[in-house]
Parts: sequence; C-alpha cells; structure tokens
Amino acid sequence: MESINNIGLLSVGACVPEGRFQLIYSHHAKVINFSCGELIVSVCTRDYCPGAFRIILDADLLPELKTFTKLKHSIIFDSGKPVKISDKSIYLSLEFHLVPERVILQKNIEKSFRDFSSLCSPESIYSMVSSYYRDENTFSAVLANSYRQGIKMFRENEFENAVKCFKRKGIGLTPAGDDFLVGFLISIAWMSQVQKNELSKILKVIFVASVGNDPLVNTFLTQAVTLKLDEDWAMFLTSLGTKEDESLGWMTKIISHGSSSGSDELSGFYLACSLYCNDIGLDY
Amino acid sequence: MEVMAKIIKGKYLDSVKLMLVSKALREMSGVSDAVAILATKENREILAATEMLVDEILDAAETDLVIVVKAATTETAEKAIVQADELINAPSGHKGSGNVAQSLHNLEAASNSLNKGDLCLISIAGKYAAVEADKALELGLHVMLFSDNVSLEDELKLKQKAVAKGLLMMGPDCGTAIINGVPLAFANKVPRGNIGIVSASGTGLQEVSVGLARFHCGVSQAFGTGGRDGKKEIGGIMLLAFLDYLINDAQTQVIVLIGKTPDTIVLDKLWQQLAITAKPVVVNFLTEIAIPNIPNMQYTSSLDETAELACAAYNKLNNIIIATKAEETTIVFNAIGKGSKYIRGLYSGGTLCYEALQLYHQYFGKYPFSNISTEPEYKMADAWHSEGDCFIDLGADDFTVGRPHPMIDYSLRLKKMQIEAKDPDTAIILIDVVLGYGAHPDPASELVPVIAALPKDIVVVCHVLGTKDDPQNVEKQAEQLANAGAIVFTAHHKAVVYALELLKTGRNKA
Repeated sequence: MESINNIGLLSVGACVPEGRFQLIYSHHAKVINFSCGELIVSVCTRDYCPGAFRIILDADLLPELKTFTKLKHSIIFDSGKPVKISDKSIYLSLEFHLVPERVILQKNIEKSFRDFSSLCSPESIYSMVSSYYRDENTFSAVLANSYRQGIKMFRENEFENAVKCFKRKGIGLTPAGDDFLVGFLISIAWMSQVQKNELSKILKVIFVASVGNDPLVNTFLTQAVTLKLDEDWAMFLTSLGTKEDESLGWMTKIISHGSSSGSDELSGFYLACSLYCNDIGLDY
Repeated sequence: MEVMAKIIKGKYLDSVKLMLVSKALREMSGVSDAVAILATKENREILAATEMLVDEILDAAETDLVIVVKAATTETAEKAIVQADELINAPSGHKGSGNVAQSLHNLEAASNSLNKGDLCLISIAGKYAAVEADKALELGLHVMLFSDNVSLEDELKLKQKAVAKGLLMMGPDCGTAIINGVPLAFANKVPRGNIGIVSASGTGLQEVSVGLARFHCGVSQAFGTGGRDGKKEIGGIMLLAFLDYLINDAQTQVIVLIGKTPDTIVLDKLWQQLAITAKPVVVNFLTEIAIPNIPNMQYTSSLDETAELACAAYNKLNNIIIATKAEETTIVFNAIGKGSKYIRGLYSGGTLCYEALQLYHQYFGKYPFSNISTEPEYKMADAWHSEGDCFIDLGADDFTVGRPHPMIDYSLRLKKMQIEAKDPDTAIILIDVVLGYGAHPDPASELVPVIAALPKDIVVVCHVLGTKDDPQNVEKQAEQLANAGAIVFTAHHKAVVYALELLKTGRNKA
C-alpha cells in the first residue's frame, strides 16, 4: 500500500469544512466516507469526479487512512506532512441561471431522455418500471410495482406517499429508490433556477419526506436541493441549457456511477422533468 | 421453496460486485430469486411480501448487507449461499487464479519490478494519459497509448520526445499492435513472418493481419500510430519513423501501410520515402486517391485485397507458388422482407464501418447515413435514431464515454439490433464481430439468442474477424452464428458486398 505522502491532491470540495475527521462511516477500495456531523465527506481516488463534499486523491487505489485534518490551505492525512491545497484544486459547484430560450432546454431534455432510455442500466428504476416480470412474486417484480405506484402518486401530487414508495427501497449500497429521489430533487431545484418556476414548496415537502437515518443518502439529498452538485451532474445540467448540446457525454458519465446509481438518479431526474418542465413531452 | 440468508457485517463491498453476485446466483439452476440488499426496514417489507424474510434478517442492522436466496431445495439454497461467499471473497479481476499479481501504483515501481520489460501500455482517462506517457518515455520505455482525448499539442510533444530518444510512441488512441510477435490490446493471434504493418487504424490492422494469416503469411512487426498522426499538426512523425524502421528491418520483406489519407504535406514525405526502398509496399488509405508512380508500390482501398497483395508480393519474392485467392464459396441470396427497404450496419470497428461506407458509395453512387460520415449531408443528426440506410460505428465517442467498448461489451449493440428489428423498414442488419485478445471472450453466446429471436424476414449479415488460434476460435464462433440464422463471412469486403448486393436485388424487385 502506497504511503499517503506520495500521493497528490487533485481536488478539494468547497463544502468540506475545516477540522479533524476521524470517524469512518464506510470504507471501500476507492472511497472512504468520513462522518461530518449529519453529513458525509468522501476521500476518493481519481475514478471519482470532483464534488462539493469530496477530496480527490491522485491515486488508483486508496492508501491506508484513518484520519485527516482539513486546514485552511492544507490537509494533513493521518500524521503525515501537510499537503497544500492549491487554488486550482478547490472545487466550487457551478451555479445555474435562467435559460431564456425555453425551446432549447425543451429540445435538449427531450433528446437526452431518448438517449437515456437507450443507454440506461437494465437494472435501473426506469428499466424496471418498463419491464414485464414473468414471476410477479420475485423481489424485483414487487420492487418494480412499488416504484410504479410511487410514480403514479407523484403524478397525482401525493408527494409524501410517493416518497414512501422509493425511500430506502431497492438494491445497492445506497438503495436505488434513494438515488431516484436524489435525481428527482436535482431536477426540481434546477428547474427552479433555469425556468424560474415556483417549485420551492414541492421541493421542501419531498426533501423533508426523503431525509432518513442514512447520513450518506442525506448528504446526496442536501447536495440535490442546494444544487451543490458534483462535476458530472453540474456539467450535464449546464450542457442541457446550451445551443451546442453536449449533454450525452456527461450523461454517460453519470450512468457509469456505481452499478445503477447514476441511472437511478437520472430515472428520477427525467420523471420530474416530465412533470414540471414547461411544454415538455417525455414518454416516461 | 427454501429461503436462506447470509448477513454481512463490517465488510465493505463494491456495488457493482454485489450486482454481479446477485445475477450469478439467480442464474444458478434451482434458484428462483436472489438479491443482495441493505437490510432497511423498507427492503424487509418487500422481502416479507415475496416470502423471503427469514428470522436472521430480523436481527440485522439497517446498515448490514444481506444476501437472500430462494431455491427449490435446501441443498440448492445452501449451495447458492456457499457460492455467494466465494464470489464475494474472490479478489476482483481474478477468477480462481492462484497467482495474484503484484499490485504496483506507479510507473517507476512497475519499471523497477520488471527485468526485461521495455514497453508500457497506458489505458487511463485521457486527461491523465499524456503525463503518464511522458513519465514512461522519461524512464526509457516504449509507449503504446490506448487512451484517447489527449490534446494534439501533447501528442506532438510526446512523439517528438520519443523520436529524440529512439523509442516507439504508438497512439494516442492506438488500439492494436503486434510487437515481436506479442499482440497488444485488441489484436489477434497471427503467425510471425516477414510482412511489416504500419497502421493508423486498429480494426484495419486486425483485418489485414488476419487476412495475412488466412493466406499463410505472418507479421514481422505491426505498429499503430493512432488516428491523428497523419494530420499536418503532427506531421506523420511516427508513420515516417515506423516506415523507416521497417525499410531497414532485416526480418521485414514486404511493407503494408493502412489508414485514412494523411495531409498533403505528410503524403509528400511519405511518397519520397517509399520511392527509395526496394521492398514491395502495399498502401491502403481506405478510399480511391491519385497515386504517384512508384516502383514496388501497389495501392488498394480494400482491406482484404491489401492482405492478398502483400502475400502475393511476399510469395513472389520467395518463389512460393500457392493460390493466394481465398476459396470462392457459392452464395445463396436470401430474400429480404417484402416492403423492407433499408440496411442498418451496427459496427464495433471504426475502420470496418468506414470501409463499408466506401463500398456502399461504389454501389449506389452516394453515401448512407453514418455517425462517422465526413460528408455533412450524410452525417446522422442523431446517432441514436436510424433513418434510411445507416452504418453506425458504436465504438465512436458518442457511445463509449462511460461504458466499455462494444468489442468487449455487446449490450448496447444487442439493444440496437432489437431496436432496428422493430423498425418495419429494416431489411438487413450488418454487424462485425471482432475476436482476439482484449475482445469479448465469447461473442456468439451474446449474439445467438438475439439473432435467433429476430423476425425471420430480417437478414443478419455478420463479418467475424479472427483466426482459429484466437481464444474465441473464429470457426466455432462463425458456426454458432450461422446456426442461429446469420449469413457469416470471415472477410469484411465479402460480407459488405453480399449485403449490398442483397439490398440492390431487393430494391430492383420492388
């Protein structure tokens, strides 16, 4: 295992607070999640894109790491030497502004949804709710029915009941249903900015109903409603508002997150687009 | 039904691995359902609804992972749980191998750990690739740079440095090479011999090297330059350097050049260099262009013919008299569906797709739509949605960002085949199946069920690129695909010509 002192720092999220982090929430080959109050700060390999609550190391595998201390201009990993945080390495989340040409937004979302429906993971929620299950008594079939019910309730504005059909349900280390809710919230928060639609009440109701006892999921939900998004998501949303639509590349990066996490987030994103984006026609 | 569960506490697992474990368990004979999930209250409710909630899960924490199996018998359920254990504990990337490779995290360490290693293959995200390639050259290593998305400025600097140090710099975006008989990245097992290849194209190099093997010839060296070496910004640095090497290489008797036409300034230098060698040279720039009269040089735009001409030249030099023409087989033309109109080419090899475009142009006097068309009026507006006759390179960036190359992962192509088959206008689906190292270990296992399930009035024409010595064995693959109903060829030119002839005949009848 390589010493942390030999590894460079690629990116530090602007939302990572100063202080000592010593409580590990979970530990994987390429990411270590540290508890930070009710949220999570992640130390990741360069496989991950920069994020507001992430520290990205220039490494393929993580070294042994038990603690780190974030100072104003440096980070000390375990008891090593301070690693300087350069201005260039600080990741500031992009901000989103009104997109005056609604037709561009509408066309780009419709096109990217068609791309998504071709490319998404077969295990994603979008694929599951579109699938026919020969045996209705399997875990996947029952789960798909719950998701279908949730989508119906979202359409009928029964937000809290809809959230129950997704929250903490599904496969994955963050259950797929939670990823869906994250994507749904990103969509609403983003549309509030780019279309100036008044969706704040809906956003709040769904966020409050979605928050639970998993700090990692809560961190993702918080990032969604505050639009403090990781680079892949931020660039994806930015590209949807431009004439030269380059959303496909960013969307496929999101799809590559986790086993189906990215596809599940996008499943939620497009459902919210179909419900709250003006004049849009998505065959969801 | 028997239900068994295994609780996993304090072991941190990758979500992709969990997905694969669940899938593997569900595929076991006698297992009717299996999942690997967090033991959240909500997931337990679903387990209860599917009669999979067993007592031990009730004691698990919400953050614990549970693997639950429902099987026909106790014995099968137990077997599945044991299998789950083995799969979870197997090191990633190693299937039952006793030799776990030493894990090294930088080039210096890797270089120091090797006794005779002198070539470094780099396949990482493009934005980091140039830095690593530069480090490798500094360490005196030859470089094969598989990564793309490297800037032209970086490519130029790397190639200039390599030439100054007398090192190979293949790529960026170099997918195939055969150095001293060793296939690198996507390459086929072909015999060593006396024909040297310089190629700006991965599948072009594969098609020609396999063609040489089919005509009983072998490869001395096969260098990849990457697709942009012939641009004026790079100046053909490696193309000219590799050519120079082959001209002076005692083992190389015949030289083959493959790639898209270089810029005029590079082309002029190339013709000058070719004019001074006495070795036979076969050039293929994949399209018809004006060629200067250079002794010993032959030109063709067909990949199959490139191999054929190179072998003929080699045989002539060595007074070998064998028939180099491939055995002609009688081709029965299937009828295409009544009212069906269009051909849909779904390629994994960019150069094969490009060659198909040129052949279509020769047949119909115009190009089909394509995502790689250089003619604006034939460039697909939306590569995801076919219209008219279309040839799509699924290995292009549009499709490969964030997912494996279609030579490795067939899922996207299978999906596209099903989508095209649903279009009532589709008459013919043309695909390439690239075998060899780096490619899918058994493409037929993925393609056969899909081809067999396609409507019978859709003709599937399939080019299988490989040798019988490849790990997948071209003969076995071709046989399985043919049994599933595909019309199979092992030479690309023939496959495309068959498909186009079929299309033309169908249209004439209509």
